Amino acid sequence: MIHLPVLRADGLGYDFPQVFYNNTVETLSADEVRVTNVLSGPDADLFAQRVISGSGAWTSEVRSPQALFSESAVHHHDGKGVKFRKTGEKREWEYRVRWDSSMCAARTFVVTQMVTAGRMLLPRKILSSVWADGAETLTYPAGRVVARGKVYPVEDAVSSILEFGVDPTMRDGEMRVSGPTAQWNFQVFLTDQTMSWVQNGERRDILMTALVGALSRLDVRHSPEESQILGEMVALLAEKKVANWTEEENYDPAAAATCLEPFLFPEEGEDR
Amino acid sequence: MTARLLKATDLFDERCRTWWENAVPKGSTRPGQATEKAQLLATAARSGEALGILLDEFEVSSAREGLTDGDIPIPPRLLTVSEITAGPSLEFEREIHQSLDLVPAAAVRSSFWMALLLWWWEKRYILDGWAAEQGRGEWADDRLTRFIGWRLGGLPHVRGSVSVFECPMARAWWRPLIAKRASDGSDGFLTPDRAHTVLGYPPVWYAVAEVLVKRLAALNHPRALAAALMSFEDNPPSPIGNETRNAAARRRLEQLGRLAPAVDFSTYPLEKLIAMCSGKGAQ
Repeated sequence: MIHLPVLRADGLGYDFPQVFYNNTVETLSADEVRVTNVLSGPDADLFAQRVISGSGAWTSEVRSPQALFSESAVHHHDGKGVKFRKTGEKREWEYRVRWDSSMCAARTFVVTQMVTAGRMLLPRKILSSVWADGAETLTYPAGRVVARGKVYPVEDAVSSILEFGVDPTMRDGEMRVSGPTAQWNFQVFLTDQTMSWVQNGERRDILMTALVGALSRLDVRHSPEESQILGEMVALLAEKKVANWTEEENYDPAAAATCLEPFLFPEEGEDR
Repeated sequence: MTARLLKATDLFDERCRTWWENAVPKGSTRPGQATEKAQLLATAARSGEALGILLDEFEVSSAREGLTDGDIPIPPRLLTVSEITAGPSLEFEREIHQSLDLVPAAAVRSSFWMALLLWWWEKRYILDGWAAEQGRGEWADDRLTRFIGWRLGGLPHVRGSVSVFECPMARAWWRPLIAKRASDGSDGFLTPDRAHTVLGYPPVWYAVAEVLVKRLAALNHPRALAAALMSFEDNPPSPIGNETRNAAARRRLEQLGRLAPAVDFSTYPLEKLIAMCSGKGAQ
């Protein structure tokens, strides 16, 4: 098979030096996420035009390896539920993905890609110099991956109580947590730099620290009946015999956080 | 599946896991060395009482868990122990899949199958004894205990997450589901029954379970599955050199997996995926 350059969101590819791709996946519930694909940089519009014209499209795949489950959907530029925004050099597509969570087990992942819906042509001049030799136009046949997003795990509802925001007065590496708000969210403030790690979904330690911080703000005044999410958390903790915040003397926010979101270790031989 | 059944399975999960971890400790491979629990189970198995002793050991009782007859999925007919140990016919697998209203989230757990089989035993849906009549009575206690654990649901603490797919009853439920997914991804070229027949070939099933669960999750895409099974149907895995048939099937799946970073399985031509799995490359 002919090797073709791929634009990568993980920053490890250098095929297209003047265009950058970033994808984010935000968990809305146990069976729904919001996906955002952003192209930026001087050559971003060349790729965006391919999606707008229909020779390229975004795909999302929901994958649950333990249940041998995979379901994918294609999101065309003018497709139902696809929102497009254009700001300067930035081109952004946003859509939601739903699936049947009873088909999944253990961890579920969302994989996002830009693929060719038909034959796609790109000018060779936008490639890095290692691809300099060859025809002026680069041809991608149908069904090829043009851009590959980062793979995101679907977080459970518990972590959706955290709302991340930037506090420019903080120093890099610091975090503070406030709340709960009237909507039962905890606001987690970070610096811009730390926020980019959160958006990339690559730093679970940040999520865990925020969760411990949030849980330490709960005490006997907060009744589980006050919100659905609190009720769910209490039920989960009770099932695993871990004290919750209404049991003042025994409550340990770190124990509760790691009960709700256990540390994850890859299984032997796991590769994904 | 009822919520009561899921809850009862959750309660059973920890008891079951602890018992098997004590009976067959991970890494205990010295022949002739059997734990107390392994000796107890093997002795019971030789007199056809393996399931009865496990019911007692796990303290399993549908009444105690608050389960009514409507909560427990039942098999389409009475099962023999040999159907549980060796696995039912493919035709009966399809009947089992249709009659058991389960969700993958439960069916992927070894402890779920162990609980279900013990409830079936309790309710007399399983006939006759265990092991002794099949010549396994001569086996060492440790080996016989592992065999029973493997057949009843798998030993995830020893074999990992793929273990449940080696349990014949779990396999009977999963294979028709995977076959249906492959058929859905085959552009109409592969019927569910034909896909199921290919999955019924042991080297293919073991390779599919191991590679797709643990190593190349991308191949769970229905079109990748379809391509793999169509390739295996035309060209069954044949070993190269000292390779086993299982290893040959794994190698073929890995060949197909090499395409995953570069192609979109939804739209890439099926014949090219099949060619890749057959070792003929793809253009």
